[in-house]
Amino acid sequence: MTNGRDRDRQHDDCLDAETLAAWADGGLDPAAAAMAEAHVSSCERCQEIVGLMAHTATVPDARVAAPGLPWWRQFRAGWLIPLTAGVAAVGLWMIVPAERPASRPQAPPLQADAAKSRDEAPAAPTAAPAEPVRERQAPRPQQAPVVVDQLAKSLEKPDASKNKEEKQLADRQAARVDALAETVTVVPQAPAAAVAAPQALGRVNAKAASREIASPNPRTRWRLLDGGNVDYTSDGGANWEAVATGVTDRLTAGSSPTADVCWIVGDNGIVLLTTDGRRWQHLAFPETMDLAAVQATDSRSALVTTADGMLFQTRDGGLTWTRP
Amino acid sequence: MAKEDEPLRSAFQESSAERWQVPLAVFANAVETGAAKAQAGLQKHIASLHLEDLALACGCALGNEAAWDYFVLEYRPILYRAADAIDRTGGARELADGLYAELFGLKDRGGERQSLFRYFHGRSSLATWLRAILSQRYVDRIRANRRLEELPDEEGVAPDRARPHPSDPDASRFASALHDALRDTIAALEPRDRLRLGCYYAQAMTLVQIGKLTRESEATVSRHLARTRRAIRDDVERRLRSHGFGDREVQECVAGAASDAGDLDLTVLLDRGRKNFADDRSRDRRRDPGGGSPKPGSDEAVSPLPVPGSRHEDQL
Repeated sequence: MTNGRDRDRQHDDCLDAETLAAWADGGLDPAAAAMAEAHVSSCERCQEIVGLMAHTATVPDARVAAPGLPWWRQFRAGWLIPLTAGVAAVGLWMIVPAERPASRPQAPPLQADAAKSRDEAPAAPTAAPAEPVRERQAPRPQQAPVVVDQLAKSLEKPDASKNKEEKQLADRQAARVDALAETVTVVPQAPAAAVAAPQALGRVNAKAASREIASPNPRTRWRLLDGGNVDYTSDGGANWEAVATGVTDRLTAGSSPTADVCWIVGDNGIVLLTTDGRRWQHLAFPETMDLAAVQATDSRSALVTTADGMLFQTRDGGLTWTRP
Repeated sequence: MAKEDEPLRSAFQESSAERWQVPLAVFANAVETGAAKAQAGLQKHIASLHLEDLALACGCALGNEAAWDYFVLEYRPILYRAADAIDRTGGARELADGLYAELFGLKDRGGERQSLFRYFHGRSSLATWLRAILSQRYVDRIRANRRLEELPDEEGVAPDRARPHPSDPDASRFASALHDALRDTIAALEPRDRLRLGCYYAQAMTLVQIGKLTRESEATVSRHLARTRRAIRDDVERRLRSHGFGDREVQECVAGAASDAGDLDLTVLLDRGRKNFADDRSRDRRRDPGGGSPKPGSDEAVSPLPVPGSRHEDQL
């Protein structure tokens, strides 16, 4: 909470709507764009305007026939009002992530699982040319297996002598490991937002090796395999049946609120839902980022945690997603 | 028209301004006003304009009926859809209606029709401009309401401090130290890093939406966000240690925030951090004209940039 009068004193310096629109449309020259960027980066009001513009940008252009908004563009402005509550956890996320590897120095070696996490190429330099999002969804070359405990050890404290690339690689691999570990959400009622609970992560690791998703019915389970494959059992594990998911991305976590319903999340914004145990529906997700955890309460409601700690919630079976 | 006005003439033809019976002089005036604002050469400026939209805006500002028919048919739905997207309860519709009235120019000044269209200079599409005005008005209305609600806090407890933990006397100290470290760290970020953070976490913009602003791909925005988070974490630790915190205290600071984030609010940190940082920098400059605070994740010096487009008569 801030003194509103202090905040509004900045209005005199703010960008006018025409300049903001020009900036959004790329109509400013580089110098003017840099100045606009510098101002918006630290002006709450202008940032709110830009945010709102972005959310309305998806309104179809008048000259383009469009039947309706894509589901992920159906925006609610509710976020604008409870900013403080919504953002409190953000600061938390920013300071917590480096804690995660160090909180799990005793992580068991998960050679098999770690192999699943090796599909990410080393982080490109920050100035790397933009890679089209579509390319991210294509199968990627595999790297050498990574042993998790070695990785965890190497991440306990970043070595100052490490070069930048090594550090980036380690961080990304750690994120993969975290994502694997967070398969704890396969257990119903487990907290999806385990990202901020180091003590929970220790518990997670013990279960991560199985990568099985348990349902409330002990006879019904799913297990996550390489390449987006999923096995299903309805006889307590005596027989496993391969079920097609239609995706090839790495699957990271799942949650089964009932014997027939299961939600699975994976890399590149993969969200899968089955309501009969076998047939999977690939749901659209607003971001193509890697997803780390999911907690579902039924076939319509689920809370998904991205690898960078953002939460997305659906209450209509994945038709629309909001940030809780 | 002189030979040096050839680019204007050419732009005039390209814009189909004649369709809306816009005189060349009116169109040229609109272009030149925008060029003066953009502080760019006329030819370069013209090349970047949305000429057809500018011609339509000129036509509407002049009250051309055909232009208005076209605008109503093509753009009023955009305005209303944007209003509905902003607030599904219909709360933004009245703003859109008010805006529509101002666009039509219901207010006269000295017997002359005053339309908001005169502030459109073609540097963006007409649709983006409409959304910008609508968004700005909506945000200002929300902020005005927020301001009224927040006034009682001025005399209340210090708003920025995390709630003290009754059972742990150190908790309050840790929370306060972490808050300050985080604030200073965020203040020292590169503007673009701060922009990405704010847009992503505070404004709930998608990576794609942020990328459109920063002219980066979704993947690049994601990578930069990850790097910034790491840099923030490192810098927060460094700042805590520089205040005499040991490993245990640093861990407790973080653990405390993990269990109760208190009043940590990124928007406030961004806002306050900027002010504090500006104050620090002006102090630093007085002390050491060539010096500056190090920035997390970057070795470059901070160069405070002047604010463009300072509020003027067309601040809507």
